[in-house]
Amino acid sequence: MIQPILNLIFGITVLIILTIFLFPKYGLYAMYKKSKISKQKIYVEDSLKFLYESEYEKLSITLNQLSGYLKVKGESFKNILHRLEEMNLAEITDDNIKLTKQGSEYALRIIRTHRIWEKYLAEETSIRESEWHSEAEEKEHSLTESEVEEINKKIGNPLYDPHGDPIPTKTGELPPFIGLSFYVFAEGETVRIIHIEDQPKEIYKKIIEQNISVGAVINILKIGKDSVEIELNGKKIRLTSELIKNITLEKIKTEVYFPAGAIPLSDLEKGKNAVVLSILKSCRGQQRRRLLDFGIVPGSKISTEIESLGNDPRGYKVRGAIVALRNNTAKQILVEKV
Amino acid sequence: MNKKNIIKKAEKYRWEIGDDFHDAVIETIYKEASSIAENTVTDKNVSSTLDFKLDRILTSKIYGFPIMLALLAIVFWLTIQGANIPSAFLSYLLVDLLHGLLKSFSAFLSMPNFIDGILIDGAYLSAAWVVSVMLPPMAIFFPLFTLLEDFGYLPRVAFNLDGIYQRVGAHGKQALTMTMGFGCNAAGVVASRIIDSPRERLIAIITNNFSLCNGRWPTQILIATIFIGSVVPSYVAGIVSSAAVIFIAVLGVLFSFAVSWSLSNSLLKGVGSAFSLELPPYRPPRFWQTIYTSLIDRTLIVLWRAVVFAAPAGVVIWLVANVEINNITLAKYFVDFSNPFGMMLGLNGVILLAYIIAIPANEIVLPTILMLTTLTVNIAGAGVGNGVLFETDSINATAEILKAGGWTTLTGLSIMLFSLLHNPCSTTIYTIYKETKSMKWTFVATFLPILLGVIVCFFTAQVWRIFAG
Repeated sequence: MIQPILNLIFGITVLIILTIFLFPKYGLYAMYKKSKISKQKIYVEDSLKFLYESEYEKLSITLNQLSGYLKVKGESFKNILHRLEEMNLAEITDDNIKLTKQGSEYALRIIRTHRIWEKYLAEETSIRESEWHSEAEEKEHSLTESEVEEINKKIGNPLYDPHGDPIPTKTGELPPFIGLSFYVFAEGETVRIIHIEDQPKEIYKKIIEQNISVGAVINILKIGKDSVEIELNGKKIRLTSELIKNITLEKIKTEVYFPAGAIPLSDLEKGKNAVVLSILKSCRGQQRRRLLDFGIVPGSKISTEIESLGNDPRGYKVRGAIVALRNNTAKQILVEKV
Repeated sequence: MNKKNIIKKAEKYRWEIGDDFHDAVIETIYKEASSIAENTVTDKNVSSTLDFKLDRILTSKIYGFPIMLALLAIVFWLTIQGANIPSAFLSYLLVDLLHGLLKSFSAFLSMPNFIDGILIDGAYLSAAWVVSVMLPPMAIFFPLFTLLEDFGYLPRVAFNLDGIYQRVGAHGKQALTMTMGFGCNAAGVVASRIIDSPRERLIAIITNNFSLCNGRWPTQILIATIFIGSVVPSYVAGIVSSAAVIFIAVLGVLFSFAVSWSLSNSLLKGVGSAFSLELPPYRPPRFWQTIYTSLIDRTLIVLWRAVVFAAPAGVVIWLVANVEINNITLAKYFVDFSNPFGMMLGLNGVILLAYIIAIPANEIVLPTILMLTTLTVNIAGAGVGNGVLFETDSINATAEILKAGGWTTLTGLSIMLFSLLHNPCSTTIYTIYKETKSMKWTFVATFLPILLGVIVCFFTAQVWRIFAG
């Protein structure tokens, strides 16, 4: 009678100890792995990244701002500054801090690692979008240069990370901060105008006449071969290709705008027909390629055919075949009822 | 324009065009292709209305599940009933008749006892055993299953069940590989190829072992009859022991859900995942072709692998039971050594040894246990001879041997649990390696079930001992 009780206690203890050791993220083993990267290195690299990103957007940074960003104060902050100067990565004048050339190069490497890792997570894994950044924040300090290059090759030398920020090239080049053209975006996305080229004058005038100005937030409705349709303050505007060449944009990280009349495929009732408008950018990697393989592209006719118990997944008829999609995928396909 | 300028300009455009032009290219190609098709192809649309009606019924919210359960029940019933006669015949032919002939032939040649034992009682007998138990059910189950697949019904099952699998981070098609696993885990692992998403495929492969396979059903039924059926009044014994076996099978399904969920949230969290399921049009199955391919592709390949592993294991089994040091067999050494640990799990040393040396096939676990039990407790008159696999003629005889070996109801319950939760057979392990090409996942798939089995058996045994004495 005593022996089994003792055994039971022993067994439970072993299980608890194993859990403490092996628990993902917070277990002792995970903590040990994390602690192997030195704290100091992380702070230095984070500072470089912050300074570089600010300088890229032409902002100058005070020591207070940096301390606020790192969430470090007092003596330890001084140590970090000392280390930055000692390694000749940054210059401090009065209250301002600036990167040296070496610092910029170092920062670009970190940024490259960070953005490539984010792209990798987005394309090749099923890690949730909300976790990309924090995962990359950790990974940027531990990946070696050759590992980064290997991943980069595997995902096809991407230019932009999943948030639309450019990835520095291996030689440390970045496009000047000019923003993006219309063709980078998909129909249905919301963007901000960050630059309007004022040469040649006539074209500039034509753009201004439409009440389009720097800073304006617009919805891209339709991207055609030689014109683009946008919505600005509730008004539809058509821009010819010679106009749009002179407008540069910036992505806004907000909810995606639905064009009028568009609904997600998951809301298409059983037995109803529709035409595919677009697949949202949030649907990426394998899943996106799979959809394209099924012929789910803008213009395809699609209808809801069958529903399973619980209505997820549902079967859609597209190009004569029935394809079952889960609702979280169908939500990312915009359709218009016909 | 010189070269430098061209490159510079190209770089600039590359940044401007961005990453997503691949999509645009594909979209344009599809648009073009569909407009060409629309203009040139005329669709007669003959079968699609019938398909439509069938889909309405087979994936219906009311009839979908009952139809599915009924079809599966029929397949299992046909397999179990249909396999009895050929199994008994093969067993008579290969184990009783041919083994006896080989023995007398070797006696005629006056072969040394040692070689005769290794080759005939070891290698031949265990391979013959595996063939006679394994072949008939597989030769019935796989063609039936393949016919349903060919007809187009199985994707609909995946569709019906995906809602459940989605919640545990798996793919609806895992329902199919799991069902296939009830026939044979190695075949279930191979079948996981139909899952085209890497993460879900690995989950299906790793959890396939939780489907109680063909080789384990007979053990479960026999043990349940002897140890579970006997503790209740005899008029409910049959129902209670069948319920116990079904309970174990359902427990396996629950374990596969739980493990799928934890794998998709821990070890496999980052592996890529994409869901899609094509529901092809129904078509009359190509009967003969299906039977031919399922016999060749599924049954014979698996059987061949099993035989290849069973023969050397037969040699090991024979050696362990017959090689003696200081007049004590190797088996006895190991059994005495591992008995305390076995007892902690509600099992005993004989069972542990049997599960180690009978790794090629679950089919030979019970004969090995019987052989080792008679060997270690010296039951006179049972079995064919020292260290040779055997089966008794009646359930009562088996029960007597096991009870003489010190088995209790707890031992019966524990071995039912351990039979569900232990490493896959070597055929399956090898197949997992072939399919995943990864030592890491093969390792996980092999040792995770053992770990679970040890934990479950340990706690069951302690709780049982506290409450049942």
